[in-house]
Amino acid sequence: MLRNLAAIAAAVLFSIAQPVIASDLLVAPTRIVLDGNSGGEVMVSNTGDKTTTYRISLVLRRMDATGQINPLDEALATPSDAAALDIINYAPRKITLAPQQPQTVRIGVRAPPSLAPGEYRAHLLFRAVPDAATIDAPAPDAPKPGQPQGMSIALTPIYGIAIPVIVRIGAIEGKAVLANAHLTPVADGARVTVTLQRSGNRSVYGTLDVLAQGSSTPISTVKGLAAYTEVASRDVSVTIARDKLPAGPLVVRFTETDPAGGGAVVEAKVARGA
Amino acid sequence: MTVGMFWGKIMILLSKKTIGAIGAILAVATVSPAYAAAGNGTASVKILRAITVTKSSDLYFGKILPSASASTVAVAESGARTCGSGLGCYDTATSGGFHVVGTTGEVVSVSLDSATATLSDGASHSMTVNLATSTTALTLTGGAGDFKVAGTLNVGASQADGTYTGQYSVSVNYQ
Repeated sequence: MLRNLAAIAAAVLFSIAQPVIASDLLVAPTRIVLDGNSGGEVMVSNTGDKTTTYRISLVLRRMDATGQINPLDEALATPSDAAALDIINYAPRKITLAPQQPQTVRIGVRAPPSLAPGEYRAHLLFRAVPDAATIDAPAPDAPKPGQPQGMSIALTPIYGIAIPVIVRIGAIEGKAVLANAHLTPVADGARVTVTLQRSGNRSVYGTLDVLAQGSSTPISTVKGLAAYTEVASRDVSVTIARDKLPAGPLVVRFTETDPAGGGAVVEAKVARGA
Repeated sequence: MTVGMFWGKIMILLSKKTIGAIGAILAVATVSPAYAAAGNGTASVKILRAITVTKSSDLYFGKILPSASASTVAVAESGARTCGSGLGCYDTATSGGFHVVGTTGEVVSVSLDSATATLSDGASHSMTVNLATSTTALTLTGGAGDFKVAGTLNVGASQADGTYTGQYSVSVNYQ
C-alpha cells in the first residue's frame, strides 16, 4: 500500500515536472518478431522540447533467472548472437529530430538459407546523444567571495530504450508452464512469486494475471513478460495490497501474447505460505 | 493522421501532438471505431505500444573540497549525501532520476551499462564513480514508473580543483 502510494505520489510529482524536461524519447512498438526474410519498422519520436540526435545500435542482452536483462560482454557472445547481429539490418543509425518529430527506423532480416532453424535475438538500443550544453548541466555555481572553489562534478546520463528484435527461422516451438507459485506475506499485503518455465526453441511472452480462484477479474496483471531462450525459467513477483487480497485460494494465469503462442493459457494454484 | 502498413495490419499513427503529449499507448481507449475507419474501409487497427523515458534529475554530488587523504562522497537513491572524512561538501546533492511511461501494468528491466564511470577535468586529472540502482524490474503501475541511480565518488588525495565531467549509460529494456 505504502509502495503504491509512493508510486502514485511520484507519478503525480513527475507529471507536474514534465513540461520542463528535455530529451524525451518515445519508441514504438516495444517488441519485434520477424521471420527469415522479412522486415518491420519502429517509430522513434522526440517528445522533448529541443532538437536531439539519437544513435541507434544493435546490441546483445542476456536475461537471468530473476528476469533481469543485462548487457552482454562481447567476449561472451555465442555463434547464435553473432548470427543475430549479422542477419538483422536497420537504417538509419543516427537521426536528428526536432521536438515532436517522429521518424521510422526500418528493420530488415536477411537470413542465409544455411542458417540453422531457431530463434535469433538482438536488441535495438535507442539513445540520445548528449550535446555540449547537456554535459555542462548542472551548471557549476559561480564561486562566492570568500568561499573555496573546490571541485564540481557534472555527470551526464546517456539513457535509452532497448527493444528486442526476435528472428525465427524454420520450425520453432515453445511452451510456457507456471510452477512453484506461492504467497509470502509482506508488510503491506502479500507477494505472489511464480516461476515461469519455458521449453522448446523459442522464447515465450505474455501476460500474467493473479486471480481469486473462480473469478475472471484479475487482482493484478503484469504485461510484457518474457522468458528468453537463454533461460529455462525465470521468477516473477507480484505484490498485492492487503485490501485486494481475497480470503480464498488464488491462481496465477499466464496468457501467451506472442504470435507463435496462439494465445495459450496456463494456470497454477498459489500455495499459501506459513 | 498517417496510415501505414505494419506487420500486415493497418497501423494508425495518431497526430504528433497526441503522441507527444501522452504517448500512443494511452490513446487506446480514446480511439473510436469511427476514428479508426476515417482513412480506410477495413476495421483492423493496431495501436502500437510505446515507451518514453525522461530524465527527472541529474546524479549530482555538489561541490567538493578535497583533503590530503583519499575519501569518498556517496549519494544515496534518496538524494542523501554522505561526505567522507576530511572532505568538505556543499550544494544540494541529488541522485539520478528517470521517469518511464508505457503501457499500464507492463514490466521493464533497468540496467546500467557499466557500474563505473570516469570523470575527467579535461587535463590529466580523473576520478571514478561507482553507480548502482536498486530497481531491476520496474512495473509501470498506472502506466508509469520511476527509478533512481545512486553513486559513490572516489576522491583522490589532494584531488585537483576544477570541473569534472563524465557520462554514464542506463537503459530501459523491454522484454
